Amino acid sequence: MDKTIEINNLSKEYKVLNRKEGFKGAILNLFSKDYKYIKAINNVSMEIFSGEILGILGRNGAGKSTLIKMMTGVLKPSAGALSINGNTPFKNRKQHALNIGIVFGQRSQLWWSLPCIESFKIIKEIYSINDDVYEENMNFFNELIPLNELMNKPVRLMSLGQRVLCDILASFLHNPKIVFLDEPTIGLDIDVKDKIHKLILSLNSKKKTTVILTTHDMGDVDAICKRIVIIDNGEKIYDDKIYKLKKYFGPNKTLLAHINSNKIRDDSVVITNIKKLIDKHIQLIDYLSVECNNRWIKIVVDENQISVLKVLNLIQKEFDIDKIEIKEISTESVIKKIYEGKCL
Amino acid sequence: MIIKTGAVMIKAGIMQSFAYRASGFLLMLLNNLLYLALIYFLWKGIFNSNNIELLNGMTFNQTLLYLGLAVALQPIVETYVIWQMSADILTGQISLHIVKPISYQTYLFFLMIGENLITTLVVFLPTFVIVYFLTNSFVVLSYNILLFVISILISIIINYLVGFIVGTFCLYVQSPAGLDNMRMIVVFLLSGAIIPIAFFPELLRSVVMLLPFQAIYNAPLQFLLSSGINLNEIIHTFANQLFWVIILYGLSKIIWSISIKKITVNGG
Repeated sequence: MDKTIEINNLSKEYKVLNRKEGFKGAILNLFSKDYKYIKAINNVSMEIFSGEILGILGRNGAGKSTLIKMMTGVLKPSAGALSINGNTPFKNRKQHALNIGIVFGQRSQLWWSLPCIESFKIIKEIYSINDDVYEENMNFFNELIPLNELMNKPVRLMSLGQRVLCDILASFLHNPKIVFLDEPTIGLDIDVKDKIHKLILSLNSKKKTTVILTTHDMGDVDAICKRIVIIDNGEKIYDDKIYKLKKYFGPNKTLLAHINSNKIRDDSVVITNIKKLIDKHIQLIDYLSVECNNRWIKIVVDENQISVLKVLNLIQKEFDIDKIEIKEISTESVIKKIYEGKCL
Repeated sequence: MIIKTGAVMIKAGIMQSFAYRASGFLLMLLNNLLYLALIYFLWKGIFNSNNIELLNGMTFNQTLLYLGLAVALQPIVETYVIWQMSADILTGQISLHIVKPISYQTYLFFLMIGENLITTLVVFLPTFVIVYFLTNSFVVLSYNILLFVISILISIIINYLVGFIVGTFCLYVQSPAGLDNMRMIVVFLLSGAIIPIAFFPELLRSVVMLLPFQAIYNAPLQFLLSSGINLNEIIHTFANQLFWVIILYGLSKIIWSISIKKITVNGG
């Protein structure tokens, strides 16, 4: 496979004023020269191959967006080299712009008060897309998502999900070699997330576009990426195939259940009871970890072995349960595991 | 190519102004008419109390025409580019504009043209008609209208470039209101939009003629006001306007390319 992106020892520093508190501080801030330097990205190197879908995962503020903004040419790196299709993004801006498409989840490149189709027409001219390519792409998009009702709707009247779908389509319109998706699923419900995953997968497979996706949602990378890079505090802490990481987070779900009874005072009794119960009925106690704290039962379930619902069914026969919660494993816990050395 | 891009964007700009600005147009027209009434009575008072026909070589009708037309021209020439730039910079929306193959400067220019075309129709034309009758059909309507229109087109570019240069400083000082007020006062005063340049003291006038601002309002107005303008003056005015377009364009490019390196986009 060809390398499309090469990143060598890339760093980005922000200069930030050390702000002082209070009214007096606010006045002093006007004259203060007391700056500190924050390393948003610290010495990151990686290669990205053409046609792959790469997930960049990290907590809020980890430096994902800064990395993407350097790759798109918005920000100038403080140090290090960055080459995309042979271009240096910050220098060959126009040439670079023709090769890439971008979606920033919280912003829209569509014209707010106009029907969506008008934005597409503007993009067609700005990128000098010829009529055949435009027609072909619009027909292809229409196969993926019914466009008729979307295209004539003013963008400001769209739901967030519809808007993001349109933004993604708009970023693929000029057949870019690389598309950057910066938190495209932020604030969306599962249904729309699923639609977006499918859309990205079909666009990637049809057009062989390299897709670089940042997210803090484990579900996104799980659904569409083969390789992931995890960034934390500006440093790359993981860069490998996703399946290697998957055995640690993939099938595990956490079940939280609250017991509605004042009679139970001793948490350890609850744990023993549950363990006995599971042992008796499903004999897979090795795959579960059970904790109990203030009448909150916490069971981590390996879904490859047994479904969460089955476990829930068991314990609710024994205990009077009033609240339940099922959690996917979070990015935070994966990162914690990586630091603990469990995934490497 | 760029012309087709421009046409599509101008069309979108027009549609966008219709979506929001219908009431804005009416208010703008009303403002213009109030301001027109103000200068009518102010200068009527000045001429009457001194009991004179000519003030600095201009009659009352000429003064009223000059200032009335300057007011009428405002919606065509004026630009909100600073507000647009500061909004883009403060919200971080700018990151989407600078990753486009079209330059941010060109993009904003087309956006402005679309909006200003509409204001030209809805605000300029009515004001112009009123000024025309108020000054007893004093405007000479002949080939000078053509020169006036060409000159106005260049004025728009000059005023836009001034706005863009000032707007670039939004990257350093995050206060569009202060910057835009400063720009408006300087442009209006030194371009002859508030007081005809002919009324300036000799020294100030010669300084003002060396600055780009007179090329915004004073230059096009000269074509409407002086009846027998000769070829030399025509060439001189256009050469002066084009000179400022080139200088300001170069300057805006340099300042922008230096400033853009400073950009930081936080919060995603």
